[in-house]
Amino acid sequence: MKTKPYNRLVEIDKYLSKFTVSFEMKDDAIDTRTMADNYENGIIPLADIADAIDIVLGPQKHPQEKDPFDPRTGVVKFDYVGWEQLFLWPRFQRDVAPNHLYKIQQDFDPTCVIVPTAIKIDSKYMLWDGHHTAQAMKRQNYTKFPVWYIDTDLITDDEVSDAGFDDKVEYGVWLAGQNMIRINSRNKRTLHPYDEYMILLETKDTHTVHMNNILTSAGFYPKRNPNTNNAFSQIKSGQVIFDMADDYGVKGKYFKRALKFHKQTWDLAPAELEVWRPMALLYKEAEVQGFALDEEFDKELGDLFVKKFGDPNTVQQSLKDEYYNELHTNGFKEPRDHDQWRVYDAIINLYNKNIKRIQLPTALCRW
Amino acid sequence: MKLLYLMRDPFGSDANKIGITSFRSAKVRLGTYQNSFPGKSHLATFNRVWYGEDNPVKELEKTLKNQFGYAIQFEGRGFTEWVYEKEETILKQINETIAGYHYHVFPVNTDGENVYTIEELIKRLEKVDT
Repeated sequence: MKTKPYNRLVEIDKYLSKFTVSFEMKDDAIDTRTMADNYENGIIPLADIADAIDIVLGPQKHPQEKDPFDPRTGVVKFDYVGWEQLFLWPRFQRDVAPNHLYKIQQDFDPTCVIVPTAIKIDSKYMLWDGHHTAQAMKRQNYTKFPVWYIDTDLITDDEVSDAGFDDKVEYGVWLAGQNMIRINSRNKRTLHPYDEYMILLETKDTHTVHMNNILTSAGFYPKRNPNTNNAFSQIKSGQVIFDMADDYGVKGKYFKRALKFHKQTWDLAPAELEVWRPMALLYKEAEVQGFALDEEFDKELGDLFVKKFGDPNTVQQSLKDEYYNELHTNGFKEPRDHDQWRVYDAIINLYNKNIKRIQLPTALCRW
Repeated sequence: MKLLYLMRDPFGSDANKIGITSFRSAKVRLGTYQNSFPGKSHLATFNRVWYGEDNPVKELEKTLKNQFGYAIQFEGRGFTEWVYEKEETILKQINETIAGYHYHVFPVNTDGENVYTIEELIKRLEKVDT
C-alpha cells in the first residue's frame, strides 16, 4: 500500500494545535521566546523542544535508532588537571593569538569558562579546543584546569584499525584534528543578532534596555523576521543608528525620531530599513548643519511618501530607482556607495522638488 | 500591473483563496482554475479583486499570507493559498492592511470576474492606470 509522504507543514500545524500561543517553527529557528508563553514562568522542558525539532526535521533526517548510551561509560572523561599536564601539539591546533587572549582577558568571568577539550596520549593532555581559554585561566592564576578529554588508553586496537590506522597515537591525532575542525569550522553557528539582542535585553543589559525602550515607545517590537505588523528586525543597523550621539553625547535621539516618523506615517508596517535609517541620518545631518526640522516636516514628508508611493517598501524601492535613473541618465560626480545614502539623497531631492517649505542639508547627488 | 484576488470556496465552506496575477496572465489563471470544473456547474470566479503596481501587490500578498499564518492549510502544492477564515474576516484584514501600510492597491467594483469578463476589466483598469 502506498503510504502518505511526510508533510512537514501538516505535522507542524498538528503540533501547534496543542498550544494556546502559536509560534514559528522553521529550519533556521523555532521561536522559543514565543513558545515559552505557553509555560508557567516561561521555562520550557527540553523534551518539548526535542519534539518540535523532530517535526521540523522530519523522519528522514532522524538518526538511526541507537542503543541507549551513558557517556560516563565511554572514552571521553572529565578531570581537573595541573598546568604542567597540559600541552599543545600544533598538528591539530591553530596558532595562538595574544590579542584574542587579551580580548578574553578583558571580558573574563570565571562563571563563563567553557571546558577546554583535549586528547590524552601518554599522560599528556593535548588541547584540541579551548587553548585560549586555558591560557586565559592561567593568567587569572588558576591552579587547576577543567578538561574534557578523550582517553586514548580506552580506545581499542580494533577501533584504531577500523578507522584505517595502525598506530594509536596517529589515530588520536587524526581524531583531535577532525574534532577541532568540527567544533570551530564545520558546525560553528554564529549567534543571530536577534538572539543576541534578546539575551541582552532579557538579562537587563543597560544599553539594550535603553534601545528597546525607544523601540517600544515608538510602537515597534524586536523580531527575527519582518513578517509581522510593527516588527523591527534590523537589529545590527538599529544598534549603529541608536549609537549615533548628539553634541551632548545623548544616544538614541535620531533613532527615536526616525522610528516615530515611520510609525506615524505607516501605522502597521514593519520597520523598513532604508526608510528609517536615511531619515535618522537626515535628522542628524540637519542638526549638525544647523537646520531645524520641525514636526510639520515629518507630517508633510510622510504624506508625500504615502501619496506618491504608498507603502514603505515601495517608498525605498522607488527612491532607489529614482537615484539609479538619474545616475544612468546624467551621472553623478561622486556617486553614493551605499543604499542608505542613495535614499538619503533621493529624499532631499524629492522634498525640494515637491514641498521645499524649509531648507534641508544639501544632497551630495542632486537632480 | 497586477491583480490581487479572493476566490470563495465553490462548495461554500468558510475558505477563501488569496492570490495574485499579472494583468497579462489573469485570463490564463482563471482558465486554469476553470479546468477543474465543468462550466455548466461552476464558473471559476475572482469574487473580489484589487489592482496596483507590481511591487505593492506582491508586498500586500506577502503581508497577508504572513498575517493569516496557520489559518492557511499547509498541504503543499495547490493548497497553500487557501485561507480557512470567513470572507468578511479576510476582507476586514485586507482593508486594514491596505490602510495601515498605505499600499497603493485599490479595490475593483465588481460582482466577480470570470474567463468571460476578465479581459474587459483589464482593459478598463489599463485605462485608469494611464
